[in-house]
Amino acid sequence: LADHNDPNAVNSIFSDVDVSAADLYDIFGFPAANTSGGERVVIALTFAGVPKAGELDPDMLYRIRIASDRRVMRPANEDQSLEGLLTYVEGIKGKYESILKPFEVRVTVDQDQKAHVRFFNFPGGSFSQVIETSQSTDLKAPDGQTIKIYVGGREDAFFNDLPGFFRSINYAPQFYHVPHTMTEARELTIPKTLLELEGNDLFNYDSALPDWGHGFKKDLPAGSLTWSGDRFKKDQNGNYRFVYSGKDAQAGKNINAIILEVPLTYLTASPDDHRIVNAWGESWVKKAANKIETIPDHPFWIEHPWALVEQSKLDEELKRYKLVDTDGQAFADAALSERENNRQMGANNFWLAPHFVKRLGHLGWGFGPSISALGVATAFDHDNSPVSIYKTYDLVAEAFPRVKKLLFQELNMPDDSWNPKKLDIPLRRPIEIFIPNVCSIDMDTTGTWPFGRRPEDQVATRFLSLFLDMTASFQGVRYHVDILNNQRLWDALPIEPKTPPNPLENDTKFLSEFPYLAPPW
Amino acid sequence: MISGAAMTDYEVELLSTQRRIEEIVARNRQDLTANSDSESRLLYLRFQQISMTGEIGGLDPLDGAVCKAIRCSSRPSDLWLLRAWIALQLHRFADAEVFLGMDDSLAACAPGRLVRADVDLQCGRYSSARVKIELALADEMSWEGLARLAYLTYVMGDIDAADDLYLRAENELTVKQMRSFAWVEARRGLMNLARGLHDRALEHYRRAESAYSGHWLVDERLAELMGVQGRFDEAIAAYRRLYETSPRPEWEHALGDLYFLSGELSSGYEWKMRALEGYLKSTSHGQVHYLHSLVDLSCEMPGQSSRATEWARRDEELRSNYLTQGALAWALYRNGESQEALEWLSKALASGAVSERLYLQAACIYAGVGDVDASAKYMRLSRAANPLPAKARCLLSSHPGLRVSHRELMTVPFVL
Repeated sequence: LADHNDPNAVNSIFSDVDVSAADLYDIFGFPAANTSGGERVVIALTFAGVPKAGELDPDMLYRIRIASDRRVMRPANEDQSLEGLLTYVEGIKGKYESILKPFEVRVTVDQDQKAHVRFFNFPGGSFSQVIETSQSTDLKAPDGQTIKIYVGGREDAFFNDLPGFFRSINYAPQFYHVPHTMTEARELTIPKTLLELEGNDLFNYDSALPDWGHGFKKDLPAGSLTWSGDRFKKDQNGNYRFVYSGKDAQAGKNINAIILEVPLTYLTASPDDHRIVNAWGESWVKKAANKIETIPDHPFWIEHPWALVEQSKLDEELKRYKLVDTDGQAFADAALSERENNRQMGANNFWLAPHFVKRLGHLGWGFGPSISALGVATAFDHDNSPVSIYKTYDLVAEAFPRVKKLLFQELNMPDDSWNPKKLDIPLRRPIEIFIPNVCSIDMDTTGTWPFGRRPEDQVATRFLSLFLDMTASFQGVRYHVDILNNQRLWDALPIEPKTPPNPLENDTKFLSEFPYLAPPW
Repeated sequence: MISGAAMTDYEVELLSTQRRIEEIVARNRQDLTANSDSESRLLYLRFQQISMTGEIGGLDPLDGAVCKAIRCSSRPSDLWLLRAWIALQLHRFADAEVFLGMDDSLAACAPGRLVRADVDLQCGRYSSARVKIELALADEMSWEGLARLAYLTYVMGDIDAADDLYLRAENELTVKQMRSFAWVEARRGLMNLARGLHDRALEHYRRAESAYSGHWLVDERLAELMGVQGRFDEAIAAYRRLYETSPRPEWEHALGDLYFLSGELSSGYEWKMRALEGYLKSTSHGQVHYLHSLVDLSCEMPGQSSRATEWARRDEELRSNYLTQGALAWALYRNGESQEALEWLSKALASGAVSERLYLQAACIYAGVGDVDASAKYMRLSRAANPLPAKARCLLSSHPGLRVSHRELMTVPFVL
């Protein structure tokens, strides 16, 4: 067309918006209930059902990385200063890749939809097998143990009010057609909030448009995309309006999944000592250059060995793939990393710690005042602000005092059922949960979040509980990670609708045995 | 009807694009709430279709449709970007800058920055282009940004660094983007061709062909390479195949060159006249994207040197870069206006661009004004940049005993 360099001619800003098989959704991990044949851990990685649920993309490679470890007991005189936080981060830096040296399960699917499953470097031995997709298979490991595996379509085990969450953070693309070039118009500069803001017409519920944000989107209006009010919205009865509806936005949806049930003694040679199984997932897509490997003298690796520097830790197969997504902890992406591509770090997200603190500060200024307005106690220090505030931080030192309590407070559990052996297991804290970004399964617990993640856990609501003050009580019961699931709490609060933020159960029953996630619709 | 199994990658994607367009059109007809997103997507798909086929005549009507859509959109930033892309393709650089300034979002987003860099590059603002590309890459590592940086680096003469950047661009591409991969490979091939590295060029073209079959863009590069290597019959056959699928003046021009170089002067003249007609038709419609081709062709054709100067001035006014400055200098020189030719040549050389073509023009112009030392210097630089330029190589190889003087060299028609 023209005598100049013109990548526009082969590009479109719309080219990357289709749902991708690389989009990881969730990772679940918990000890199997039946221990008659020895302890077993269940790990399930779910991702977009593309091309469709039950059919996997042959260009993808999925990794489930697993690192067993001791349970860390906190010292009595723990340093909870910013320096202490940074010391903690420094302590885990390199731990996963260099010290724990995670093992991995690698899955690809060929053109015939056969899954190629490989187990690398586990104490129980490395092996590979080709299996049928969409059916449970028993694999025989080199050490003779049986590993259960399922690769294929399942029902989406995530049940939550996703539009509610996006309304709480004023995330425009859920509600509007946002031009791709308007990168500043994703999370709008409106305070995050659990309660609707008076005059926030860009996001407040519109009874005339019940589908708005649930598939239906408006065109982004011209004019200001901010909010200039100074109070929460109240109805004629003095009730606040909840941004959540409690409805399951994922109902009726299917996904693809890789589900494993693995003997603990296959994962670790020290099962009595290594009671923690850390797991995270990665999606990789084949690089373009890989498709033409029939041309032997591929100059990328031969002529330019310098290019290997960045990839020196990858094996030959992974060099042919590009990392797209990682998934370890629920909400680590959506809430804390803002889903930016360059923050897909998995267990190596330690360097994001400063961002994590600043992001929590930003969220706290939104959620904290809305929690207080309801008469509920928050762990975030918002100077008794009567309304949510939009505030961002450039300096971690400035944000840290605000979020210190939130970061270091132990998250109470609703009862003792999570700890069936009644062992001395410390309650988990946000700082430990999100950095590193792994699903950390405690084999002496039930694996309910944050001691892993069970399919039936309402993690979206538990995530919100991070912002509560865990030393406070409601009707004589100390706040805990499921307090926001308690209908009596909502009945007592000046809010409409009087509902827990997210559904309490999935739209279909989970299975009590492998593969645990329900079959696809 | 082509069966699925026999279709090339290009045909498959073209068909898929057409189907997606039809789906959106059908949906918009039925859905009264059709929104700006689907409209933008439709217009981008149409742009993609035109870009894929190279049927540049579709850009003006598309621009009209985009303009209309902008009037109906509450947030037209994507559409302004698309207008800027179209303007860039049509060499309406001032328009592109205006469109990029129509929405604040385009100043901060990576695609906006990259198109601004494209305009800078065309307007000879190389440092500014680099800054914008690097800012875009800092925001988001992308193959598009790396490919632009590679091109800029190549223009400034560092072919190894450019190739490394192209490699990094390829490393960002996945199997879902094979057309883009083929495009980058074709660029790498072209870069090597311009440096006289024909085998490497062929290797890259073959890789492009293997990555994404059936694309005319790669076939064109292969045909060009055949011509450069003196394989005129094969090159002519290849260009004729391209021409049969899409009769474009630039391919008439190429065929004219090839027939001329192969000694079939009357056929060469006939094809060049057809090309001239096509270029002039375009300019008569107010289009400017063939001005550079008109300059080249007019410089080669007898009695056209005065017109060549006119076209060259117009192109230089649109985009003052080392290529247009050099082309104007060359046209002026051919028209006997040596002093002004030297002024424009100095500007072009001051750009810092490393160009065999520019150096060869300089060698000829300096020879023409009697500055033998300068001529020799630029001839050396030209040879260093590309040991044997395409048509000079052909001429020399067909006349092995010929000793070419500087004076004679100025008569060598070359278009790289």
